[in-house]
Amino acid sequence: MFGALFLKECRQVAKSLVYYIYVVVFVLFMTSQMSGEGWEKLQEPQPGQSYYGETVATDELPIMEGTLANLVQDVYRNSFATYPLGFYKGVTLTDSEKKQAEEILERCTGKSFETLEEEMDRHFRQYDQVSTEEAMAAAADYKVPVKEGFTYGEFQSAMEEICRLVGKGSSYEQAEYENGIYVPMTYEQAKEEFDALCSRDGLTRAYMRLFCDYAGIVLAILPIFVGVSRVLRDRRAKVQQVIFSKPASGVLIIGSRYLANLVMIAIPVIATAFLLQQPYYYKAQTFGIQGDILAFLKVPCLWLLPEIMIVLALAFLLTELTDTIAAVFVQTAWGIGSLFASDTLVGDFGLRLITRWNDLGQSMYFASLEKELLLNKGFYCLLAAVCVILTVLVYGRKRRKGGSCLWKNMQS
Amino acid sequence: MFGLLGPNGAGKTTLMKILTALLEKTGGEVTVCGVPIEDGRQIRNMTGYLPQDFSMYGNMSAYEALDYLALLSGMNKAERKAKVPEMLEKVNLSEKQKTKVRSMSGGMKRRLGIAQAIIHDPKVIIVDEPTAGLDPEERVRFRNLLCEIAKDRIVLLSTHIVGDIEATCEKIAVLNQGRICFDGKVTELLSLVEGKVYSAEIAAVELEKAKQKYMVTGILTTGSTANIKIIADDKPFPQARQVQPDVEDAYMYLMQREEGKRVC
Repeated sequence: MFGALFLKECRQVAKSLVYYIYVVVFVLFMTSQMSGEGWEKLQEPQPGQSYYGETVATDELPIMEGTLANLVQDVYRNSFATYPLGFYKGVTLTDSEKKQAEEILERCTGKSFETLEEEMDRHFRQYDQVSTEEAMAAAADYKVPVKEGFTYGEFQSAMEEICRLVGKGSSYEQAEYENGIYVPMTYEQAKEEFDALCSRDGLTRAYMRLFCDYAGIVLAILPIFVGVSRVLRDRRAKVQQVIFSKPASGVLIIGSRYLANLVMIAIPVIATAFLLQQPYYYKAQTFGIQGDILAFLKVPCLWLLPEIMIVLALAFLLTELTDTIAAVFVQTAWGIGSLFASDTLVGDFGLRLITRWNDLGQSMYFASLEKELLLNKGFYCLLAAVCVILTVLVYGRKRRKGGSCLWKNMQS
Repeated sequence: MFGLLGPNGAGKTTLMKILTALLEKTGGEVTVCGVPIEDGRQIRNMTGYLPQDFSMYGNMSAYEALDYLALLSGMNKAERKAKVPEMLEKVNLSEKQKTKVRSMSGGMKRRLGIAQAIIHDPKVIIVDEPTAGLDPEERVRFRNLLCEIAKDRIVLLSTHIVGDIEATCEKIAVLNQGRICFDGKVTELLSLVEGKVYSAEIAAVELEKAKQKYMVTGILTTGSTANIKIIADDKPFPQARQVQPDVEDAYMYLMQREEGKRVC
């Protein structure tokens, strides 16, 4: 009976205009973001290249040197990018604040700011800035050494002072600089990374992580509309009373609806992943790399399904509870908040709704974060299950109250 | 077939919803065929409900809608395959089985509504204001359908249209302001006004005076004269003649009495 109802609900979703809007928006977004992404990663690194890409710095010294290099450039331009509430805010320091920032730099490096300026100028002049590859290498190679005996603790205090000057949400907050400093890879590192990309990830898995990064952004919001429209359809079509009067249990009704919506939302995701993976898979073969043909299924199911589950479950719960489109506003705010609250575009999963991996590769770094990702996804699966159970309870309560809005009843 | 009659706002729909476990009672004891209404699952199994404003998803065809509701009634595929066409045939919608609900007329929707209410063969059918808004032909057709259905099950018909009750029910209850003020056979209701209903032809100018003095239940004005129907204890005019009361007369008499107004 559940299966028959599930199929009928799937058919209902497939007849909904909101669903087709979701499919079109999702496919357009993904194809525009993923076209031609990362082909250069398929080239095996060769000795003697000027640039091998970058990797996240984990040692204290490169973190300090990289952060100070960024700081010298920001102070030089007197322009700081901050994201206090998730949105960009440019900060310009007053003369006295700029002076303080320069003094902090002097304290960290043991050099005057004028000397640091000259060194920076000299460094960038060594590179041909017209070439993109050279310009990237120049930025990646630029480091500002700390003075002798300068400790990481002192560095942290200095950065706290900078944060006080520029305000919240800058790249000088601890979580930011500890995850956001990249150092150039050596040939050996690049080779090791490339080997891991081919063997450990079968290449397509890494590509699918990048797919999930983009898809995760839109899937934090789009399924809300599908879920809300399904729940409100009963009231709009005036079928609430007649469905309430039927013997089918709330578990059966809500369960089949939820599962049908979940599957119908997931289908275009998996289909798009498959289609986008294919050219990449065959191209990889021409380089002699055997990709994982099932990566389009494995990675999105782990990465995106829990996110769709919680977004949809919350849409069901809030809409059943309020009989309004409140879920659209609540969850859009959550999705956007989660997107901008991320400290880095790669990793730092925590319990964020949107888990980012905006890079094709860093396979070994991903391996170190796999457990964190699983915890995140497990948490949201559990939370989604709780929301569905609560939706069933709310539905049951509404059924006994003649379909009247539970939220209004609670308020009165 | 049992009729529940009462003015708008009397509490008929509330009572219907309580009987179908759609609304919790605030007090007292309610059972349907001996089953307390707290046992919602069993109540839903043994009742079929046609709500006042029945509708279904507009994008479903008549067949799909009935099949969906049959599934929610717990019927398996084989049962549905046999029953859905049978029910559509019964309510004369076989030829319209592919018509989308959004394209159906009010009467067709009600017939679909009654089909979904009886599809799982419940003991009790509860229909709430089923003929409101239907044209006369469709109304008669629907009443006949209800009578046919009532042959082998209990049908509880709630309405404020006296004609529906008169044409279909043997037993009725009259509900007013949440209270049952009459419960009995139609003949017993009629006996309340037996010998008290008169018909008279009066001058049209005297109509207002007559309305102030008597309970007038019918007026037909023809030029300067008016044929009126009056409920009165004694003969109101010398030219008045006693006539057979109908349910509407009895109902009006009962309502006026309930409201504490002068009835005769």
